[in-house]
This record gives sequence, C-alpha cells and structure tokens, in this order.
Amino acid sequence: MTSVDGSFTANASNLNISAYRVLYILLHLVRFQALNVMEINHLLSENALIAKTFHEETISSYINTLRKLGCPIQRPSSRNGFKYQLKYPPFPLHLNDEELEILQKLLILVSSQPDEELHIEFLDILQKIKWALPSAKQELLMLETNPLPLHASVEQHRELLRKYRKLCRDALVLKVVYEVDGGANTPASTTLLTIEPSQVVQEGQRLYLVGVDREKHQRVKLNLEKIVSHRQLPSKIEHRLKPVNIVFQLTGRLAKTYRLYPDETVVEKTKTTFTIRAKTSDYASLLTRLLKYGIHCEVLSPAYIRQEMKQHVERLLSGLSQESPSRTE
Amino acid sequence: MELLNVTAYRVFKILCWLMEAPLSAEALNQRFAQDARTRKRLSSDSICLYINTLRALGCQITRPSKKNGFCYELLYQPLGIPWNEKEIETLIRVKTFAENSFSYQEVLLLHQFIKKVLQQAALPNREHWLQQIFAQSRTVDYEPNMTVINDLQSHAKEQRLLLLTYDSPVNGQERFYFLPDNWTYRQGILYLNGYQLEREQITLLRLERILKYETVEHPDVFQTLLNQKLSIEPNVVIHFLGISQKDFEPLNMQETLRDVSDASPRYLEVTLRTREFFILKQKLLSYGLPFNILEPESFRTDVRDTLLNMQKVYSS
Repeated sequence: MTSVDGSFTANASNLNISAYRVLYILLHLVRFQALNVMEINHLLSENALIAKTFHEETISSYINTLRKLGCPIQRPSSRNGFKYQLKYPPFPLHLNDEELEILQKLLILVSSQPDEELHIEFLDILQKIKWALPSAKQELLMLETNPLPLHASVEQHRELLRKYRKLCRDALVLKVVYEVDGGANTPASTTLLTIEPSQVVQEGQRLYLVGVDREKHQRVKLNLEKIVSHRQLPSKIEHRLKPVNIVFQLTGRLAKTYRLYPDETVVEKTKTTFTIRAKTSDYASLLTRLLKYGIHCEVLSPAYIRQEMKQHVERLLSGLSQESPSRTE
Repeated sequence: MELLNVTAYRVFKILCWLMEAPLSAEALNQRFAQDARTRKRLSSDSICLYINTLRALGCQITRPSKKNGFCYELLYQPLGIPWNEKEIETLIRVKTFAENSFSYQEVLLLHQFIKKVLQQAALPNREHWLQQIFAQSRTVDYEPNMTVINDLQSHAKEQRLLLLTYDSPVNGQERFYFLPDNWTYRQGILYLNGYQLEREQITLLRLERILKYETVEHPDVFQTLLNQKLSIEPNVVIHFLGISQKDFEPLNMQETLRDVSDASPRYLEVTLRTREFFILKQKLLSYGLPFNILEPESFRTDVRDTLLNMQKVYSS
C-alpha cells in the first residue's frame, strides 16, 4: 500500500497492525456512520494489509477501544438495525450560531425555489453537516422546518422543470410549437421548431430549455412558458455543437481589472489593452456579456460574430433614435 | 491502563497532536510523558511505526528533515467529513443561488462556512475544490479583510466623512472625500457604495482598491455629500419596444411595469428610481432588445453616445 505522496509503502512489518485495524474501522464508521459486524468484517477482509475476518468479540473490543478514544459509538440494537452507529465524527465540525442561522436561512430559500432536485441534494448535505456537529449543537440545526408557502408561479415552474428535465434525460428529438411575439395589435403567433434538448436552466425568474435547433444548427434557449406544445420524435439526439473561439479586446478600466472566466485565455496584454480568447459553445450568452462592457470591448474575430455585434448595436440605436410614443398618464 | 488496545490509543493521540501543529519525535515524546494515560516516553522506532500506521490509513505526513525543523507535519488526514464531487458541486450551485439573494454579510458568512467545511473535509484534493469554489467561480475570498469591511461599515452607519486613497484602474492613485453608504456584493466582488464630490451618480469602490482611509471633519464637504445622499433619486423611464410584460426579464431595480399593447409599435414602459446609472446602462446594453430612454435626458445621451461609438468601432 503506497501513500498518496508515493514515499511510503505500507506492509504489516512497518506499522502496528492491531492499531491499524482499530483505526481502519473508525475510518469506515466516519464514511458510513453505521456498520454491523458483517459489514466491518467484509471491509477488513477486503483490505490487503488485514485480509481476514475477526470474531465478533474481537470487533467488539476494537469498538470499545474507539469508545475509550472518545468516539461516541452506540451499541447495536434492534433500533439501529444491529449496527455500531457513530453519533458524530472524531473531529466534529464547529460552527458558530451565526453560521448555523445562515444554513437555516439558506434551507428555507432553497426549499422555496423551483428546483426540487437542488433542494433534495442540499438537504442531504445538511443531514451530513448535522451529523458532523458535536451532539450539543446537532439539535440547533432544524432540517424539518416547514418551508415558506410556495407561490403559485413557483409550483408551476416546479412542474415545468420536472417535465422538461425528463425530456432532456429521454434524449429524444422534440417538435416544439413555440410562441413568438406578434406585432402591434396582433396576437402572438407560433412557430414550429425541431429541437435536440440538452438541459433546463434557470435565469432570473425564468426557466429555459437549452438545446440545438436541428434545422439551423444553432444553440437555442426557449422560454418554457412560451412552449405551447411539444411532441417527442422517435429519434435519438445526435447533434453536438462545436465550440467557437472568439477573440475580444478590452480597453480602459476593464483592461486593467478584468478577471478571466473559465475557458478564457490571454492572447496579449499591453499597458492599455487586454486581448482574450474565449472558447464557447454558447456564443450568444458571451455576446450578451460583452455588450454590457460597451465601448471598452471590441470583438476582433471571427468576422461573422463581429458582424453580429454590429447589427446588435444598430438595433439598439434604432430604438434610441426613434420618436417615443406619447406617454399616457 | 484500562484501554483494550494501548497502541491504537497512542497512534490516535499522535494524530490529534499533529492536527494542532507539526511536531518532532522529541516533542511527541514530551506529550506522551505528560499524558495521563501513557505517562512514558517511547523509542523513536515506535514513533516511526505509529507514524507509518497513520500513513497506511491515508494520512499524509511529511518526513522530518532540516527543512521542516525535523518535524512530522500532517498535510492531510482522512477522518474528516467525507464529501464527494457531486455534493461539492451542489454546494457551489447553492452558493451561486444564495449570492443573488443574500445580503453581503450573509454572503461572507456563507463563504466562511464553506471554507470551514472544506478545510475539515476528508478530501485529498481540498485545495483544488477551494480553488473551484472561489477563484474558478470568480469569487474573491474576503475573509482576510473582515476587519476593514466591518470598520468601513461602521463608518457608513455613523455617516462619517472619509478621506480615502483609491487605486483607480484609470487614473492611478487618487485621494478624495467620500461619504460611505453601504457595501454591495455583486458577482463575487464587494463594493463600497457612497458619495463623492462632483459626481451625481453613486460611486462604487472595490474593496481591494481602497489603499487607505481616515475619518475627517470637514462640515462643508460633509453637508454637500449628505445632501446628495438624501436627495430623491432621479426618475428613469424606459420603453422596451415590441415586448410585453410576460416576456420581460426583471432588471431587479425595483422597477414598475406598464404594458402598452395598443400603441404602434407596442412597448413596455419601465419606471424606476436610481442613481446607479452605470449598472443600469450595463443592463440595458446587454438586455438584447431595442429600448428608448425617455428620462433623464442626460442618461439617454450617455447611452446613445456609447452606442454610436460602438457602431464606429464595428464599422471600421
């Protein structure tokens, strides 16, 4: 057995094997929180340095040693499924009252948002944290609190999230009837899209289905509330969008203070400019971010994305240049 | 000795002591001599054997050498709380979610908690995960700055005028009077909001660029800045063209909305009060939809000039 730094190879002659067995049981009690004799024996026999099973009484004596070391291990009984249960780890987590309060607040917040999966996963984390607290503090972290009553729109979003996440997992192509804005005084119309769904994301208060438009070979982000209907086609998704390399140059204050995002690399840094290459398969989101930097950011390449930036700026200018409709009080 | 396995006790004690500080074989022996349960010194061979037992369990312990003062140093121990990759990813997602809803104090407290959890975790690649949670998610770790943060917050609360030296990315070092108002946490960065002479907009200063500050008595300057702070925030009216309330992604600036669908083209009227024109401008530029600013005129001109300059850049 070699240690992580590779400098030590353990064998039964250069360590104390009985102490090793005792602490090896502790290591697994920390990992699994509760183990019965059979499980402990299985773990001991699987270990190359130990490689054998032990009598129940020997295991019991090892557990007693751990108790003397200060490890709170409950006796096996029908209540705990005849397992040795470690009530909290040998080195508990010491959180102050403020930190416990923030966890409680965070739990309420997470339980009141649409993503139920996130709530369940976070609850599991908190269960583990609760177990890791010293016993006197464990009661202070209440995981069974009632969440805030859910707003009707959150309930609706939960339903949408569940439905579209399942569609993403199914990995089948979707035919989607999608609502598009009508013009003035005209009701909204719809368009038919063929989408390869990949994931559902939440941005602000909206949920979007992210996928690839099969006909345009473009990444799309559809507002779930505007999907009028959908139908799964009997064909598996196959499209993988190739990432695009976008080079942009920052000037002024930004050139000095910009912090690189993941997937960004430095092309050149001078006293006044900072040139960056971003690799992305979602260039629309990147452009949205670059636009907010205004005059201090210029997309250098590729040419078609530079052109897209130009069109976007012109579209915004057209709004600002036109006469505003008169305001009604 | 009432212990059933004395050696296990000794090995465990070594682990506990090494968790407190790096120790030499001699220092460990002194502790054993003082320990009520052992009360005796051990040979260096025994200590070496016990250290090896800990290593076999997965502890990373350095070899004593001249470089480390002939101490055993514990770099990692596996009896911490075990976390897996998925759980840490969930923690990162929850952190990101909370940063958009919590106050700056709550965010900093949450960061402190996450660090504590990871530092005590049974994670051999702990540094990598700390890096993921802070640097990779573009979050500055403000724990070392807590004294300054709390001090400036108390000055803001007590409305104290400051003379502040700031490392401006554009102008270099600047010295100016500043009336702090509050901290704001935005996308991983902490800013001190406040008021500065000859600036109508609210000023946002990055904590790490504040080089020096002192409280000063200057009644005239203080009164001017206080008046600025107490004045009513300018009214802003924006028309988003061709969009209805249903499609509008909130600006999160306490705006009120009014759908005007019988106009041609139809528009959504958004009204709000703010001094944070810099932030609002960024939001408008990246919003993705044509808009018109009805008031204030100065803001309309500013945004228009920016867009005209951008147009020039992309036309060349």
